[in-house]
Amino acid sequence: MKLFLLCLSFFISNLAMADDLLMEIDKYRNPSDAYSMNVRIVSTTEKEESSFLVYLKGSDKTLIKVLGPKKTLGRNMLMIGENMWVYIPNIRRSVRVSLSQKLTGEAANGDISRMRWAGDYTHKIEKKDAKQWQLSLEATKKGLTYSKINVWIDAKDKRPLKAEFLTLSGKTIKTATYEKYEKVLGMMRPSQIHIVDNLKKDQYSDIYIEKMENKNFPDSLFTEKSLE
Amino acid sequence: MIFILLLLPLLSWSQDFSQKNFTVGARSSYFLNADDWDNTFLYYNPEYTDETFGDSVGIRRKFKLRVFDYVSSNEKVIIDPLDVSMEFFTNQNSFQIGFLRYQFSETFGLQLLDVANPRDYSEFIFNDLAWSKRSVFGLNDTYKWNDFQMQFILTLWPNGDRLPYAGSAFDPTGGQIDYEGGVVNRPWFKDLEYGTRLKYLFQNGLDLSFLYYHHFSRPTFQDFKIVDSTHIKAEPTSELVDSLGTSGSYVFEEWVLRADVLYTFDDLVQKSLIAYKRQNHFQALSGVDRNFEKFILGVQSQSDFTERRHFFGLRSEYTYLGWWKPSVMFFKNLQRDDQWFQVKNTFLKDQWGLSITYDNIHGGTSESDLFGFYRNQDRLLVDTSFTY
Repeated sequence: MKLFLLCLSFFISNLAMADDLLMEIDKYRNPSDAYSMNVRIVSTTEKEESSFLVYLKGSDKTLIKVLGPKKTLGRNMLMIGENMWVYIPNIRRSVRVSLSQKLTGEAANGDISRMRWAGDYTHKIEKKDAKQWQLSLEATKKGLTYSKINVWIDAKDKRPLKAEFLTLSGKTIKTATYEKYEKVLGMMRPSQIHIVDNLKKDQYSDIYIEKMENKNFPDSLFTEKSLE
Repeated sequence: MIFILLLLPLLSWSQDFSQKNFTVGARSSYFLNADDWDNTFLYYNPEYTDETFGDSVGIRRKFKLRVFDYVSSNEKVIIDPLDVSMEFFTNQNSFQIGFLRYQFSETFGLQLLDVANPRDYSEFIFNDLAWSKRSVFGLNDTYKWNDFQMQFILTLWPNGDRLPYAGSAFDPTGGQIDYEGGVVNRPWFKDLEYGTRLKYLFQNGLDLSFLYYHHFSRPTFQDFKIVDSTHIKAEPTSELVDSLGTSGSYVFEEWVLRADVLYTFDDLVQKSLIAYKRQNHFQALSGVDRNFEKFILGVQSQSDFTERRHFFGLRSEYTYLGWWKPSVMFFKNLQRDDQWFQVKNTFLKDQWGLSITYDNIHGGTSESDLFGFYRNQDRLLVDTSFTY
């Protein structure tokens, strides 16, 4: 019995450690439990840049309001867990879509709606050196934007440096680098995420995080009604 | 009171989000067989939304109107409040008051469960469903607890359908009867509509909702009254009925499955174009959508079991180019002649929009053929707009 309890406590502490590391990495991109951010996306495959106001609460609630360009105004998005709805202004209705559906350029809906890895993925440390650690993340649930992610973090402060997004079969579809760390809401955070399409290397998107604000969003805000 | 409510959204305070635009446009229908333009109007859409979230309360204000200014008929200017409302948020509750439009259905085309709002039937089935939903004035309270939502709705002013005006291409009486058409007037604080909706999002992604609603039977039919030996007058029906409905959707990889079912007790069921019979009314829709990289494809089956009408529908929209959005829709009765084919091309350039829609209708001439009345009314709908 003692051995069982010892094993159990070891297993639980390992789980907690696992979550702790991903939560530490997540902290760089998520200042608090609930916050808003203004995001601008510039892409080689889109003529006009896109801008969004993103409301996030916890790891599973996101509301994205499209601020531009004019032709996409109103195509607001709601994410609850692994479920996503998009409002189509032409037909004045919200419809369900998958998280992996393209947002603009190389960025998928999940790239800005799902900013936390803890809870969605388990991790394994693949490589450690004095400068960087390499982790492999595996999805714990179905319906996420990516099934597997390879992440490189700074060995010292655990800030994310690079991520490769893979299909279930292990094929790399996109690579993101976390750049231009700036002091925002009390700590250094990446203000630019550079995403390259691995199948078409000349196609890339840059996600600029222009403003972050801690907010006390009510749960009742995250319904389809907020899309209209 | 209404005017105060209309003005409230214009008061300014600091906001987390605000958006405003103004659209001016013109719409007209060209009927190929009659070689004539009809139902021409100008429209103006001022839209304003803002929201603020404090420590414990959030407020959202909306001011969205559509003004119709008719050119080809003697109808008065209609000011349609699309969404003029204030919404107050606490953590698990949102309370909304104002002119509201509700979405209950998960399906495209005929949205069975959207029984809370009257419609614009001035062009009957031709009418763009995005345009046709008219607001009601009322209260809407939604309680959200994790994945469960409970909604209570009370309509203080039910508003009425807008029917084809007398003498128009869509006048169902053909000018033979004393018929007014236009907006059906309903009084305030009388014949209240109300209902509740329960919604639950399951862990596996199934989104299921149940609805009960006490509402006016829609669409509005006509009762015929003999005024004297030479004069018959048509009056719009005003019958309150009760409905039970359920709606569901489920995402499987890139596929979205969805269904709506509606059962209305002692409903006014369409017998012919304007006549009706009283009967329990059972309708169901089910469909599947697939999002491809460059287009969306949806197929749907729609059945009115009471009237024994079973339709198959298909809709596809090309989504790849931002400036050109073509879409196609096909709707066919599986047992009868009724069919409807629509091609729509929307062009967007900066603030300008041009939309050209071709509707082709085919149907038999018996009372059971819903589209028969429109079989010689193929038309082009042209809509131009400028937004700033």
